[in-house]
Amino acid sequence: MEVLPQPESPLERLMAQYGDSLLRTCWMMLNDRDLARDAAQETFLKAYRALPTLREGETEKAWLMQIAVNVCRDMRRGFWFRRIDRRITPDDLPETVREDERPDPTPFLAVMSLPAKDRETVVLHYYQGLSLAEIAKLTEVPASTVRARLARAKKKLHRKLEGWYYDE
Amino acid sequence: MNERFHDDADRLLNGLAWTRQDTQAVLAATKGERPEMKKKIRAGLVLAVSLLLVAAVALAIGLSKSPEYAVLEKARQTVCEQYGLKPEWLTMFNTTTGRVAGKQIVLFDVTSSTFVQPDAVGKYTVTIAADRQATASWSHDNVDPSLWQNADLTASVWGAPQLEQMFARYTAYRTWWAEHENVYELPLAQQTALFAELQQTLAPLALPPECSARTGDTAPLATPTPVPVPAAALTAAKEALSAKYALNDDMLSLFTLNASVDSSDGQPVWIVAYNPVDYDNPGEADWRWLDFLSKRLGNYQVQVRQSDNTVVQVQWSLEGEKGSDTYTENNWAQADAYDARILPWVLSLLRANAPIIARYPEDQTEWFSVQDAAAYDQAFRDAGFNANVYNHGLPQPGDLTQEQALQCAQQAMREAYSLTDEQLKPYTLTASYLLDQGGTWQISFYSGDGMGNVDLRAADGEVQTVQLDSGVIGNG
Repeated sequence: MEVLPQPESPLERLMAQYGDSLLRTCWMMLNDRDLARDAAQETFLKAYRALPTLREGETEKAWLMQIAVNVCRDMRRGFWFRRIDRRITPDDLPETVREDERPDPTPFLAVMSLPAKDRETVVLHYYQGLSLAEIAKLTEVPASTVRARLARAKKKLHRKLEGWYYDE
Repeated sequence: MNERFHDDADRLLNGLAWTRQDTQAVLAATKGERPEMKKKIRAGLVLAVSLLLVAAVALAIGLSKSPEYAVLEKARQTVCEQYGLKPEWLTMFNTTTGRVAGKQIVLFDVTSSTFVQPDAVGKYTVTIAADRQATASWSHDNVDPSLWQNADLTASVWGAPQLEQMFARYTAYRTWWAEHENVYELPLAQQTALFAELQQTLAPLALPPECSARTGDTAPLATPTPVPVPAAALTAAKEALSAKYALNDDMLSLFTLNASVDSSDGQPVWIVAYNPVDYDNPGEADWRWLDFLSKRLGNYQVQVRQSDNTVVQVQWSLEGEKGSDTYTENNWAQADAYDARILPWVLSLLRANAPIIARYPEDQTEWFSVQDAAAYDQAFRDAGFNANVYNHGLPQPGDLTQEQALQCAQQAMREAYSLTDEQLKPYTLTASYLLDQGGTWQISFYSGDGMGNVDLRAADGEVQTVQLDSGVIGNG
């Protein structure tokens, strides 16, 4: 992995700290490497412009994710995005740096096959580690809706992943 | 699942990394518009506050149990007995099961959060042999016990004494939120005082990151600005869709209209696009249906020349897919592309189920009554949808009644996690009857900060699964 220079500004620090995970989050929401990179760059640009609105005490990860979710949603609404079949197969996964460390992609692909809203919730909760309350706030839906989305996602994954994450 | 999904995702996507070029591209875009920082930015990475649970569990006296459930119950009992843990503490642990050389292996670990740190807590592994003999081990077995026996929460290794202390604080934290759920509506000074009080209760554990005074507003979601398309161009587009694909206004109600202008070749044209009903539309709630439907409705696009409203191109993204000729009213769901012959059946299905959906709050299909869920799924099955997916039904004669199933589920949950009636009180229960495996009652538990479910074989009440996720720590 490339060694990034020491961050010099708040924006550079944000990019150094969250760049990889935000880019991967965008990929999981958009299923497209180029779109994900565009979305991540757009997110940091919007974050830069909105930095003065970040309130002290507000969790900056949740704040960044709110921007990213909106950027990805805008992209998903685009006509061309919707024309393309975005189902993911193992071949679609970005090339890993160390192939020998590549885990079996079955559980990951099962999550990727979830409908957009449920996948978004799963990614924010399980990948970004945001609480359901934070997700409710940043996606502007009631906490009960987030819980319901997560519950049905887990129910669906449970059927697909018996013997994987979900044999308990 | 939390940590494993995170790790798998990072390993699978590690070829996707933020680069120096990305940084430079963003910095270049900001040139000339660097704003003054008005507020100090928090530097710390927000810890995952969710404490995932996932343990399947013990069984209640008087309840029968499935073999899979029995394995987890055994593992749970073993680790509790051997290390002095209490069942309710295990709601803070993730559980992973596997089989090695004919033995069942059950692993208990935790996800990093304000309340628990994986390195300190370590991992418990239970091995169950074919003869049901079980032994547990702890990743800190070789550590000097004096490191953790003093119940000090600042210790680098946490044994049972620390887990007890931690769980007491976690319980206090949940209680605090139950009593202060509207904290963010209070004046900032009052919020600060309340959070300081909470910090004292949790000490020496740190206050979770969301526990800080703030105003509750959030910027509204950005929504695309629709481009208004002139009536004449729209009429031309609809006529073209009718002529080529036999679409009428009723069928087009399944789509959303998006219009834009393309001037790339010097002759400006309206791009009139009909896309499947937006899956972000909160009014469309059923995840099983929407993704499926979008793929089979496809996208229509008509290009209309701006100068004279002449249609220059009409396209459907599913052109050439398996046609609808062989499908009937009873199996149309299986077609690859829903064209004008199928769309009236699609509309009929939607309209038949609309009264059911209207009875429930937005996006809450989880709350369908057993009868409504059965009727809803039956309509899908009648159209040829997968019966394994649309699997809600009605209990058969001889099955547990809904009331009996609810009682069994509560008993199973109480006993599995050593919960009191008082602790179960905040949970709202919903019942689903699934046609899977000859009939299964699935009872879901929802509360402000936890959810779980109990699956019971409908015929005799045998417990198939008990799980409770107490990891929803937050302000909601």
